[in-house]
Amino acid sequence: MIEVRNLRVRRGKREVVHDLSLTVPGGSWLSVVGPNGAGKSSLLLAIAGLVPSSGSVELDGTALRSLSAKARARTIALVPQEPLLPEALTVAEYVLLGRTPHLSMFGTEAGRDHDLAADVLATVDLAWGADRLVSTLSGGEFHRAVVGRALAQEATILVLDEPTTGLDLGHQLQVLDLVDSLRRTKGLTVISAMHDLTVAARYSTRIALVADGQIAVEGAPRDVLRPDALERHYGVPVHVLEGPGGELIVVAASGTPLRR
Amino acid sequence: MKHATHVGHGVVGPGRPSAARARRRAVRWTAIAIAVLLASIVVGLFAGAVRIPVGGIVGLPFGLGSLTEQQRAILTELRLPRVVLAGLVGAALSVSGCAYQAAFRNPLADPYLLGAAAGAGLGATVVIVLGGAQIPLALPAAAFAGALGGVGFAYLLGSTRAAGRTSTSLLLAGVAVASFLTAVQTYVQQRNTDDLRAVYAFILGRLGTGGWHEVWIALPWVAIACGVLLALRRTLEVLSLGDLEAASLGAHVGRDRAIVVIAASLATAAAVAVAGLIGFVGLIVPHAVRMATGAGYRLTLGLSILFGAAFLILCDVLARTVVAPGELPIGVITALVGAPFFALVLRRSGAAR
Repeated sequence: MIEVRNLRVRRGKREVVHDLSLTVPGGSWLSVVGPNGAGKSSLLLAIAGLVPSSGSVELDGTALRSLSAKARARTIALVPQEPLLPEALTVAEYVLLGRTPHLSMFGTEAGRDHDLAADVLATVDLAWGADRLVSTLSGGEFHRAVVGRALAQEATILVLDEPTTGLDLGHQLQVLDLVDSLRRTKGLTVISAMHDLTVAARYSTRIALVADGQIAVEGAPRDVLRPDALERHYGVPVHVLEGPGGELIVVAASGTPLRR
Repeated sequence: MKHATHVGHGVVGPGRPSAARARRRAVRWTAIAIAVLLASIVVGLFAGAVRIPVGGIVGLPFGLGSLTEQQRAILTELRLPRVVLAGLVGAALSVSGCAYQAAFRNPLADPYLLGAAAGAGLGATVVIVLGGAQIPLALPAAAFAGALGGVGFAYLLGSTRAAGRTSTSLLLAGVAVASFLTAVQTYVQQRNTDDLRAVYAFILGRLGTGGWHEVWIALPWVAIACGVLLALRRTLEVLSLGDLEAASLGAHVGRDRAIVVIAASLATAAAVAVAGLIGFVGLIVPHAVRMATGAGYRLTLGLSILFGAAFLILCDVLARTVVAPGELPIGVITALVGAPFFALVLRRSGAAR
């Protein structure tokens, strides 16, 4: 559960999130959508305590500010936008780095940490590659390893900052399906920034459309993803269609000039 | 999934065997590194104008072998301190280079990155032109202070709120400080051309003046730094993921990097104080170790200490034997031997990938 009240985030001299409040109930998936520069990443990183902010953020009922760095990392885990690809780590070692908030500064992993990492590797379907170097994985496999590292933190809240940028459709859905099944089985709370609105509609229980550092619309995917609201904030006319399975499909309309 | 059948569901999870394999690899490489270091120590003690039988050298620590008084004195008073000093300096530079490469996520990082070399060079030059080089401890003290001063200055400059407190801002501050101090050093040197030889001897590095005295000056700093950095080797791995990801894993990035910089700077300053500026070691040894082992910082940090010590001991052997009875500057040897060796490792590891 995430409760954000009157959040303000500054990047340099510019305020990029203005007085924003939102609630993500435990076990749900909120997707933050909106045009580039709307403040999606800043919002997510502030919730994860990784950029300075004012206002209040509560994670599972505890104020973010009162948590130590380690306690914070045991509560909320980040899957970053562009995770760095380490050269010389095996997949098992990479996932084990997720145990950092459970170890002391001079500490090293014990048997329990190794067992947990092994479970995580099986969960993200990388057990076969435990000894492979992370740098030899495909894009989709590496993303699963990053999710695995976040899972190894044993946090109850998962933050995905445009988690599947650069992945093809199949690998994208594979990673997000994995997150979704973890949310369902382990009751994780998920908050994600998303570019692809169709994908956002597929996984989110709720969607928040952010524009200019504030929430423009928030609600169930069907209520937020409406042509008028999307056109207003993205500046392009869109169609919101319904697929054969009842899923929402958001596409840019053709033939109409761009409205800026 | 394609390899899903390999997933084990027994009591022992699939991660345990890989942990065991990693441990075996660490033990194997550590054994190799210790063997190489011991061999290079024997070579270092053997090389010299007076022939001393290898049996006597190997037997010395066990009180075995028959050495004359004179041979024993040459070993313990001349060759051993020089070998130990070379080992200490090599270990200090390599471990600092390895730590910096992790903490700054920069493959070109070396122990002189944040102005340690320029600061030490300026300190030494000032002492030499003021005629203080004959005063005991004046030169190492000035080089030590100069190295720490340079790094401290760069750190203050690069870790202000305005500079952003990132590894990049720190690195750029290091470049600025190093350029400035080098300019001042060059100026002082050009105003006092009589001392050029002595200044150059320092800048090219020298172990020839080294004795037990220098060993005792450097040892505590190098030992503390190695201990701290070894204890932090997992944290270094975390820092090498970059500031954002390290912080998301619960690391205190600023504090942890400061500890790494302080420890590495103490080791570097101690090395510079007793041996002058010896380039290339801190850059190539960690890389060569990483390429040879394919392992992360956790293993390569410790191996850098052992291989760095062996590398400089062997370079020093070349420095004092190639043009014997004359001596080449050790900094020239590290680059002359190190660069082709490094190119070879680079080619081989490229081909292996």
